[in-house]
Amino acid sequence: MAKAIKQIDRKIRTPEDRRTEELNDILSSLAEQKESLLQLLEIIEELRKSGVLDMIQGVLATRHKLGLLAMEELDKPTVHDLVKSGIGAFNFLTKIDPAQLDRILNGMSEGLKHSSEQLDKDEKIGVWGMMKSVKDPAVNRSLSTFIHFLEGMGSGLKAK
Amino acid sequence: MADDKITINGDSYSFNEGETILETVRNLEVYVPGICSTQPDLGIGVIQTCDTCYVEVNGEMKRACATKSAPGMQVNTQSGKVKEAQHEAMSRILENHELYCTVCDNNNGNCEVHNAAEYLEIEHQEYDFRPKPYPQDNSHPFYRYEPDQCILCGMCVEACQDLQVSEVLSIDWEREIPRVIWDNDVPIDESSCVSCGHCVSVCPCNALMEKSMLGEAGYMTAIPNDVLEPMINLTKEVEPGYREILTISNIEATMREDRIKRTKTVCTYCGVGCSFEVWTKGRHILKIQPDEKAPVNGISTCVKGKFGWDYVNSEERLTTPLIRKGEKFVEATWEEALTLMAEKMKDLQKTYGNDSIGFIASSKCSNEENYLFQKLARTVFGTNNIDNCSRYCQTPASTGLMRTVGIGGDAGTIKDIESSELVLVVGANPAESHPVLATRIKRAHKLFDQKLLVFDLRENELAHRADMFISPKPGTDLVWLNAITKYIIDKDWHDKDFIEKRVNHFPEFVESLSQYTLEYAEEKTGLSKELLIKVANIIHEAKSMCALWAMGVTQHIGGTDTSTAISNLLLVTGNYGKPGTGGYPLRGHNNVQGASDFGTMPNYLPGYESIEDDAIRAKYEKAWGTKLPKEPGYNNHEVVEAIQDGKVKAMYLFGEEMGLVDSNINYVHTAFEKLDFFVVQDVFFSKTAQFADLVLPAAPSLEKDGTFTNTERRIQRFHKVFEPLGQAKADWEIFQDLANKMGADWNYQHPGEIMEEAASLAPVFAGVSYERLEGWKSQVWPVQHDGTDTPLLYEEEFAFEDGKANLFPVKWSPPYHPGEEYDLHLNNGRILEHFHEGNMTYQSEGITHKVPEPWLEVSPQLAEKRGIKTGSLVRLKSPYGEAEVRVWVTDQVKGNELYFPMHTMVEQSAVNRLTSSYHDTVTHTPNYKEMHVKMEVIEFRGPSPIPDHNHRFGNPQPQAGVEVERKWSRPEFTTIAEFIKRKGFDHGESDQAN
Repeated sequence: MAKAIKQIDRKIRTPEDRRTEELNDILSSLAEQKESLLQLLEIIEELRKSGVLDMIQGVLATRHKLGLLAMEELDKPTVHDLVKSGIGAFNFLTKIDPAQLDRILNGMSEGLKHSSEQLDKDEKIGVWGMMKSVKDPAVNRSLSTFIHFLEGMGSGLKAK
Repeated sequence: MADDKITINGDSYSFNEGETILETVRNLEVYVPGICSTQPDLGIGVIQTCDTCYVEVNGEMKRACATKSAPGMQVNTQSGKVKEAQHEAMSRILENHELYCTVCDNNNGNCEVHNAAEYLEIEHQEYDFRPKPYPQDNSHPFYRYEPDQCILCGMCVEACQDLQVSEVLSIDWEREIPRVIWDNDVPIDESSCVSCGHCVSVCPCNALMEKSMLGEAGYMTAIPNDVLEPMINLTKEVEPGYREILTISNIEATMREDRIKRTKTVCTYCGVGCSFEVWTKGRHILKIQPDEKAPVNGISTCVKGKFGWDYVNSEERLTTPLIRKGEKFVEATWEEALTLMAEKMKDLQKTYGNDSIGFIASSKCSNEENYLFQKLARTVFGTNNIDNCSRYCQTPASTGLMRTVGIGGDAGTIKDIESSELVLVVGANPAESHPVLATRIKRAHKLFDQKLLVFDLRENELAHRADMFISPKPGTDLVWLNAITKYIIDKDWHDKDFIEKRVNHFPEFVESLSQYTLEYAEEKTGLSKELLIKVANIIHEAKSMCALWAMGVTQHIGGTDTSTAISNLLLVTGNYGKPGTGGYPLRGHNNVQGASDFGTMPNYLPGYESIEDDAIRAKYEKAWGTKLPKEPGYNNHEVVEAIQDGKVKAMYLFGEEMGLVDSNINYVHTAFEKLDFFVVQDVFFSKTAQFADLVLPAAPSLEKDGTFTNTERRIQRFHKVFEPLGQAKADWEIFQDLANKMGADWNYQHPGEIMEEAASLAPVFAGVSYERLEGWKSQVWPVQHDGTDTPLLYEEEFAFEDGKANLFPVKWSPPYHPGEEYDLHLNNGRILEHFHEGNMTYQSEGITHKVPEPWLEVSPQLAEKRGIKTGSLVRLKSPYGEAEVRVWVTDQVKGNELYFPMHTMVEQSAVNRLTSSYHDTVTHTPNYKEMHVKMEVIEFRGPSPIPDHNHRFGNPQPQAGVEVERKWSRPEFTTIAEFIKRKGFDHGESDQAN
């Protein structure tokens, strides 16, 4: 003989009950992850000591304002150019054969070494000396490399 | 090279006749972009707006989507010219769409615009992006339109005009900057949009998006606008080329796989059986994403399936067992609840016998759960007192079909309905009650000349579109059905060959029709002889016919007989066993078919095997290791009477709001009050639960695994998305726990094991298995051992011993009438937006925004006579009770006929306070549709029960799809082919860098 009823007595879980339950949940997962948590705590302490945490906190708390500021700063023609150049330079690097670059850079480093040695001597080379040095196989190799580079660059400039 | 082959990029291939080049290359897995052809359900080459599929055909530039493959054709998909053409098309698209993919919520790997831009290696914006001078439209509760991102592909328009056929969307091609508009350009919320979601689902980019996705899907999409806009600008300014942007967005899209879970599920509303993916992030439902691979619905959904899932996360969900203590319920543990239940039930069983307990099953729950519930009732409690809610709706239809053709289910599938020459709808409102199924009829009728005949009291949407809408007197369908059948036979139009070979009892049947002359029919139905002859002619001329019916037929005293008469007509005209034919009782709930299929019926074990058959019972007794009761038990209707008579003392009910949806609920409520022990298991604290002694919290479909069987007899798998909320449990787990408490030793680990057991016992499910139901796969029963299923029944034989169908003579039973003083006919049923009593749909803020409460439809004539208007508050009285509701004056109803939707959880406005306990004479299905009432006016003026922003007050703009010709006739439009010619790529390769 049961009349329709609507009242439901929710077991009154006091805020303390709920808190205890939640704390228990947290404690049990803490225990499960003991090793990694302890390590993480050490890292956090180091971050705090070095002031990094403060900084992060500041950034996070003001993230919307900072975002606006950053966008204000970044959304300017000079920055656009900078980023474009950066990406351009990056693309340039991706197109180079590392072996070739290595060879050229190697040569350049030898050249730098040699030239700075000569710089100390402060010797002069006359026109004749220059003509003569063209015949030197080492100098000749550098010059022809440079001329071939100019050829390549010229055709590249035309294509674009 | 053989002549019948096509050459693509130098290699020759075969192709299917009639297909387009785009279809051919896609079948060969040669990628050609084609943004506006990415949804096969809309048709390949129908839209022709995106132009990204240009290829070279015998040296000429052609749209691959609109050019048919032909023998000897030379196709090049990769030449410089092709690349240039596709590049131009994509550039035109990007003039309308900003690629800020990484901060776009649609960047989920399936963005067609993104993917096409990537494939075409678009590096730079050929034409500057041009925002459109229109603000975002955020007016609709479920989705938004962002014109700036709209590429004007018109897929949304095609979906709305020619698939959903609500005819709301169009593109205004003539204005300076075209855009998609709703109706005649009104805010979306004020339009005739029915919120089905087709447009949003097919949008190939982020122009149309579900609001539940916005700011939620991406890692960086929640950035506020004041930061986001300069960010997009910065990206654009420094843009080194789109390649880098697309790479970053691809990385971001991949990262999203970690947070967005996509799970296939089956809709839990009506019986159409739409399947789709649910995208979730934690417990947040991001969106419902349909897929063209879904066997029933493809990319189609209705408002409930697409947007009506808020109930799963509702605050009002039951999350712990509740035990009645005095005048209130107190929370309990599962252990306490099940111990109490086992003790009480055992006591009552011992004192009053096995049949003192009744079991009511749920057509919202899975096949496996229904199977287990009947096993529980029969083995643990030793009773056949078990039934499900098909008793309230479709048992008469099943019975009518079992009498005539042998199987109580749809004769074919949605494919048959859409391919039929003639669709006859009797007493059904599929556009609102089975919306996705109705789309296929509306589409076939609009585009493919399908004929449509609708018999109904009320001019519902299909009636409005039909070739003929015919409105007989209430409860007289059997008369005109028999009369037309007789007329067809008298005219010698019946299918003699079919009848001779495949049908029994023709002579007796003809004899039984003698009374049903056209004159008699005219007198009883109010339909003129001429009209009936016209209908008979249409039926005679159609080479194939499907008959669809629902509650307008079944919920009558003669429900089974009228269903039988429909099936008789189909037999006489030879409309069974061929594609595009058959009888289709439209099932109302997601699993109303499956609940009965899997044995929650008083007289049937799973697979409709009779409980009274000794051999069959022996099979189950052996498998289950226990004796089974032989006598059929009480059905839903009888159980209420048995409680009133003191024969049934306890009841266990799950997932069924009997306290609101059974007829004559006052009588049902007094029965509930008499129970000694009543257990209600539900997702919500329902009206029925208020009478319970014990309330158990159950899990909805998104929180469990299982299968549903739709109206087509199609078994489909749904998968668990979330863990059950609180302490709620899957229904099957609760049954198992209880059984084990009662001493049974069940050990099902997964619903798949339950299905395995059912398949091993019921021959019609022999080959059903979870392996065969993976992904989008489905099985239409009967399913043989090897997994062969039966989408179309009766091709070889009917389901009787001799393989022949039976014509079954039926007589008209005049409908119940409570007496002259009750002067208005009360029709009742569903509307599009809500479902059943509304415990799920009212949880959706958006749906409630569109329809906050039910209303009473009153004809303009009656309104005038009574001096009432839309908004008036009236009281309806029948001999069984009274209800209060506000009026909507509409010419959908006529004269003294009222229409009262059933969707309310407010008892005071529940239509079933008015309905009676009379019922179908054969199946005991209540005669919900046979009631007359008196109407008293409480308030003449008041607020309209339907808000102005309901789709019913919109202004649809029917047109033939997107009408791309209007785009092509814009003065500045140049075809891509012409553009390429002018640019001078006619000779050889271009030196284009990309």
